[in-house]
Amino acid sequence: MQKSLNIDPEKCTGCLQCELACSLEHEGSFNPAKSRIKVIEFGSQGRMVPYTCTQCADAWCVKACPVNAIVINHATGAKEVLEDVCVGCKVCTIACPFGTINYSQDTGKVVKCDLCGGDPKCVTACPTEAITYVNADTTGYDRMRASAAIADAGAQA
Amino acid sequence: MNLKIKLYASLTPYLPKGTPKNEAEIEIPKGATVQSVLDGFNMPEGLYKLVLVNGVFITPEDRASRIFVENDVFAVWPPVAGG
Amino acid sequence: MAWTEKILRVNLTKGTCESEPLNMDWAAKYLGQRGLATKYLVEEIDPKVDPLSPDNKLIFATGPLTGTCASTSARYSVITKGALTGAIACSNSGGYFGAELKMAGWDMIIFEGKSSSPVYLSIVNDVAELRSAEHLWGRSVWEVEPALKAESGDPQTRVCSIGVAGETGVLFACIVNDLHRAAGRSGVGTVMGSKNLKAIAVRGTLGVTVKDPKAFMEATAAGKKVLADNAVTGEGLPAFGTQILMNIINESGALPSKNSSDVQFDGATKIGAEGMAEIRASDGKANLVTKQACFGCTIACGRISQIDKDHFTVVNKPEYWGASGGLEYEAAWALGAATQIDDIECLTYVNFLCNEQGYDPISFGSTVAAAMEMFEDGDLTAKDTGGIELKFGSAEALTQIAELTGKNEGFGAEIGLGSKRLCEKYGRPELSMTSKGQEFPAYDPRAIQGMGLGYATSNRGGCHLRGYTVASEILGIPEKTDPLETEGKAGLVKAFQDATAAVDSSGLCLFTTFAWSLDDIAPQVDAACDGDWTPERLAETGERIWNMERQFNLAAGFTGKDDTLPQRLLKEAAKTGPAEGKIAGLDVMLPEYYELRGWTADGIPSNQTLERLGV
Repeated sequence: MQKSLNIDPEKCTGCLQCELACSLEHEGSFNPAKSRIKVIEFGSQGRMVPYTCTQCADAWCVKACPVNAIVINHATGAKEVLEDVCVGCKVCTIACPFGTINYSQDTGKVVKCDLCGGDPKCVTACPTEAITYVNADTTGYDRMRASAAIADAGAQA
Repeated sequence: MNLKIKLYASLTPYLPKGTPKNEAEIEIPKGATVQSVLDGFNMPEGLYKLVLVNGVFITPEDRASRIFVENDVFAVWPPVAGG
Repeated sequence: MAWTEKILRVNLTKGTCESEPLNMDWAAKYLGQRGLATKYLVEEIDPKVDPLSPDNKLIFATGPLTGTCASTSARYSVITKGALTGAIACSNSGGYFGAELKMAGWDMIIFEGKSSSPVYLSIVNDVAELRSAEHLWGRSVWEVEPALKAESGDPQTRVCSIGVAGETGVLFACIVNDLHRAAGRSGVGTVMGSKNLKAIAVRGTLGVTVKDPKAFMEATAAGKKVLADNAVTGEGLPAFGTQILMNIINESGALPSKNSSDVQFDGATKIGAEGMAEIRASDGKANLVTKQACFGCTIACGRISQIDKDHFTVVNKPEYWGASGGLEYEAAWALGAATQIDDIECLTYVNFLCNEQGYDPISFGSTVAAAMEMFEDGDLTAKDTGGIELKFGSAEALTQIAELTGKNEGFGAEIGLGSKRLCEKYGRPELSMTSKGQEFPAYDPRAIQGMGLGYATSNRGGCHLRGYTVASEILGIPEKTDPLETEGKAGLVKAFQDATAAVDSSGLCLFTTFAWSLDDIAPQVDAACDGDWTPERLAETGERIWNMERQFNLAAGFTGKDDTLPQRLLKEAAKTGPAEGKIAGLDVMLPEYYELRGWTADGIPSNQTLERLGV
């Protein structure tokens, strides 16, 4: 079963434990600057929104890469960067409309979320379940359930 | 007799349905104790912690013997803190 | 490893920024943040220095756990000689700024001297430079942060700054980071302004490491589980914030109201957590929008609020219609209970102003309450206040005064002196609710006796955080004690003060101690830092820090006679509630406190104590 990261901004408190976990996993130190998942703050609205690569099925980054350095992990569905193939041309960073693949000056390669091979560390780290890892086909289920409850309350009134 | 009762935070839903805000006046039998009134709300154990009668904390050991009198004000909170 | 082992020393007079190695002997004895920075301060400045002179120093210090994945790893402190008090000032803040400083590779920044013109400090990893802040001087915290992010070209830059209050010498000006978190007390912002230092902008991409990553991950995971399973830190604080205390403290008859004339306030029900959650009839929304955490924090006690657009305070002022940092308990107490104002939208607006222009709502509210009493008694007239009818309960008056104080204008300049100087100026010194010149907050010592001892002996003046015995006396954490009793309080206060000093030096947040003891904290520190850190060593470190701070204050001119409370609390009994008829029993608790501390009967640390602790 392929799973996706499911983001619920309503639950995000802005603690950045996801960024800490991601950077620890991929870089070996606590360094949110290197995290592949970022929490975006919309302060005047009181909203915090974690965001990262959504692992497009038909990915711009894969198509754009001139050396085929981005491959699909068929178990997780993640698009992974082969570091020894990547030449750091950064064309994928231009192609991705979401901004979730970025260049790293330190390594000369691009970095992106790879779902940690199927055990995403951001999910484990999140204290409020703002990020969960669920069946890719039914990420909307909880919201559908909540909406059904509202519709039902109206129908019963 | 009447008892003024205030249930706060996660305890508020245990007040009678339709109670505005956190306060209600309830009818209790003469001789009712702090523990008996608490039990009457069917709150799970551990859910309440700060049990105050007229602003004074009633220790767990005293709750079964502290009898309510006329004009007592009963206020209860779950475990909370601040600074 | 945990510590970056680098300090940035900034000489504002010369305009230089230099790196120097952290004194690791001192780190072993004082840990970090509060303890370590205080050690640097006491070694480097004359205790008698004028806080606003270029010879005072201003230190921003992280702890060894700041920036790690430990829960609540956001904390940093600002240490200096306080402008408000003339005592040691040590003000703690959260948000994201401290972690960013650590990520940039710095344990601490020490500012010396005074710049000849307004400057700000820019730090990008190891590149630190002072830049002109002429274009920022006169602008608010809320304008400076976006301006500096734009200037740096990196939207992930974090900023702390002073507002106009700090620039113009409001004595309780604070330093605000991330728009609504603050190093709030004792006028640390005033000291920053006196140096012509407007802001610090920092970006850090180097990361933080620890001594033993495996042990650290285990210890911090265990710590996080304790926090999550605990009803206070796992449910109560995130759901209700600190504002849950308003009704508890009022019910307990310990809510100082009307400048501590009363110990309860009828309006309390409107200005606490319940008031923040209530749906407004006017716009169908609640004051509370959501909760927010600081960096690394798995508790999330922060409140984000939005004011009713049509409320008189913000009508036609769209700049205040957005969500921003909402009321904490202490601010709501000072702005509302102390002044008898029950309009939560007004209190939220004033709280916004405190963040926008950088001044301490606790000192501000308490000073306004004292001014209100003087006004009602006729010591202050409308002529003095520039026409403001400064009466208890007046939301309009509070609003006008808050707007003036942020800019140190009109009667706001008088308020900006703080209540001690203000009351002395108008001939009513006894109306200042302060210890060592700092306004104490939201707990009346007549009803919570231990807090009276805490306020009187706090090294930074009236403060609830130095030794928060409310946790035990009212909330039953870790064990319940009787708030109306003085017996045993000396030992309780000392234990809280020492443990708190250790926590304040670690980079972690004090609120973890509603669930954690030093037994939970020590393994995390031990896994991160060189050396063996046990709970006992942390407690001893705290006691060492406390005595070091005490020595500084004594050298600065304070004596045991300053370990006192206003006459109102010592002589006038509480009028209502469980403490009716009681006064603050300081005279009973203080001698035992001195003895337990190993101090003389005059409150001076004995040589034996200083030697034992290695101070």
